[in-house]
Amino acid sequence: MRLLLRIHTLLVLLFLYLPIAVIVVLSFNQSRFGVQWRGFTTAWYEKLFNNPRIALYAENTLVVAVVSTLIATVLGTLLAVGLYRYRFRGKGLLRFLLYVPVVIPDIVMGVALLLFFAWVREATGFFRLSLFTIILGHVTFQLAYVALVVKSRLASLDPALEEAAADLGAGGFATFRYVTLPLIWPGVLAGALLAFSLSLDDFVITFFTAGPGSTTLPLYIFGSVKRGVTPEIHALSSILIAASMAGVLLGRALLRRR
Amino acid sequence: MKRAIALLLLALLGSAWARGELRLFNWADYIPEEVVAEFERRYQARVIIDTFEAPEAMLAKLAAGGDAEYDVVVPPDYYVLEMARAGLIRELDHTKLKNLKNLAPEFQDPQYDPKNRHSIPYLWGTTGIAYDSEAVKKPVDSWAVFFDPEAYAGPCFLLDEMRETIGAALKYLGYSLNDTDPAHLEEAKALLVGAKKRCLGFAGGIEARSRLLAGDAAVVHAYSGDIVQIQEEAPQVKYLVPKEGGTIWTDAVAIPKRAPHPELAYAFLDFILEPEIAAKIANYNAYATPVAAALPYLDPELKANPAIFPPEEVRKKLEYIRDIGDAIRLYDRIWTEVKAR
Repeated sequence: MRLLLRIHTLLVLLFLYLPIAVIVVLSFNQSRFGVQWRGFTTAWYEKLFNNPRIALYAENTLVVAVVSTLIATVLGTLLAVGLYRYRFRGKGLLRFLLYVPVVIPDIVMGVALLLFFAWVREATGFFRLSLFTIILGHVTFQLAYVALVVKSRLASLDPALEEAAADLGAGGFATFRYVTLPLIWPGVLAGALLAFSLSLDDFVITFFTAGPGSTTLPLYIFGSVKRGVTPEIHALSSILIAASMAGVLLGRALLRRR
Repeated sequence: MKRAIALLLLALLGSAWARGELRLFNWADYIPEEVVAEFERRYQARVIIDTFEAPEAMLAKLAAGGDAEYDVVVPPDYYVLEMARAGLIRELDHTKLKNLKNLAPEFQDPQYDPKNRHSIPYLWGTTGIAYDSEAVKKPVDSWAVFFDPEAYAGPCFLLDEMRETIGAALKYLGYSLNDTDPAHLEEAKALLVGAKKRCLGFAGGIEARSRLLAGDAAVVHAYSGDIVQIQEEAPQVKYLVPKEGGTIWTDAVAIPKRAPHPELAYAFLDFILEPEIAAKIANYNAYATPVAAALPYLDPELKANPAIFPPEEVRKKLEYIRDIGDAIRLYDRIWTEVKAR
């Protein structure tokens, strides 16, 4: 029985990670076009790092990820704290609405954003598709993830601590600043890292909200599929995989810390 | 933290304010970095390249307001007139393109855009048959390898492109690949149904190429450029235009109607018509260049490769895929029926 379980686990892991392993292996392959192994090389990584075009796309990706994560983390944390601390009408509804961006299909969200931006652009002349609209698009889904992570951290908080702070004369803001925030800080960071890695490799929403000059790495990778994916792209994908894994691992480590 | 945010905002604003900008909407990895850098240096401009993965996506973006965002686009030949009719691209002012004269005569008045009114050609190629010369069981020189059971030469793939694939069947039958006679199309359909049974199925150009390289397929319906690229690594792979003829295609370069920087766009079009620049573009992609004056600067192997520059008797048998108007519905129906079988 135990053996069966082990085999099962192994198969599941293979199923999940084999395709990723293939990409990483191919990024070191000498062959430019085929899938056959023709010897080890790091030339594709060198080529990648010397490509100014891809550096620009990486810059776009990072600007979007950092800015959207900052916005989503601040707003998401405040949202979670508000839901935790206060009672108000419509709280149940708000809590439910929080899950919608998490479960709604990306493609629906992307099209909705595209139409919304077009509509606002007609009316105001602003919201030209650009890095700015991508950032807004990313915030819409990141916000929910951050709020959910921070909320779970808040749930394990002892309410007596905030009450004690209030007893000792701390106002609402002081309590938040000196008691609540330090306690939930690991949750906030974990939420931010999750949001960061979601933004880093988002394709669908980016695709619909991107304008000229705002090509990101995932968009570029998709664009190269039809013209033949070169090992340079495999190398790029490997780096993206490593970056998002690092984000998730760091986030988990922070969540574990009390 | 504050400083980081301020810097990021500055970077965002800075990119929006940069002057002398050329926004190019192109296939991924279709223009050598060297050429872009040369243009940037000469015109003191920044070139921003966005990429599309399918012409449909490019058209959709332009129609959704992108015609006011991009300065230069690279549509396939069969989209040029459609885009011009839809008012997405402008009529070119030939007085601003002094290098037009560098084009080969047949590209000065191409079928898909008479007199280069709306576009200039970028690169061209053909659609034909690629095969692994060590794996085929019979000689390959005709579309029969797909359509005649007697000529079956090994596991095969047809292109997953409606006009190309129905066109190949029409060519095999001796008709034009723009034929709209329902009876002829029924004949083509019967051939395709049979071919589908014998072959491994339909595939995109790159997928078919990978299957050929991996040894899963021996014969595939393919674009010349895709195959020539791999010949250095896989010399056993050959490409030819079947004796019945095949498709010729051209990627064109056009300027959107409301391009924000039209002067720079004209400068770019003229720039890529320069002999040495055109040659660099062709050498990089291993495609044929329409710029006759570029021939002396081409890699000798490229120039001598008949898969890239087919000999005159083959070129006579090549046809462009043309807009066939409402008859496209007939094609759609036949294609659906073939694929559903």
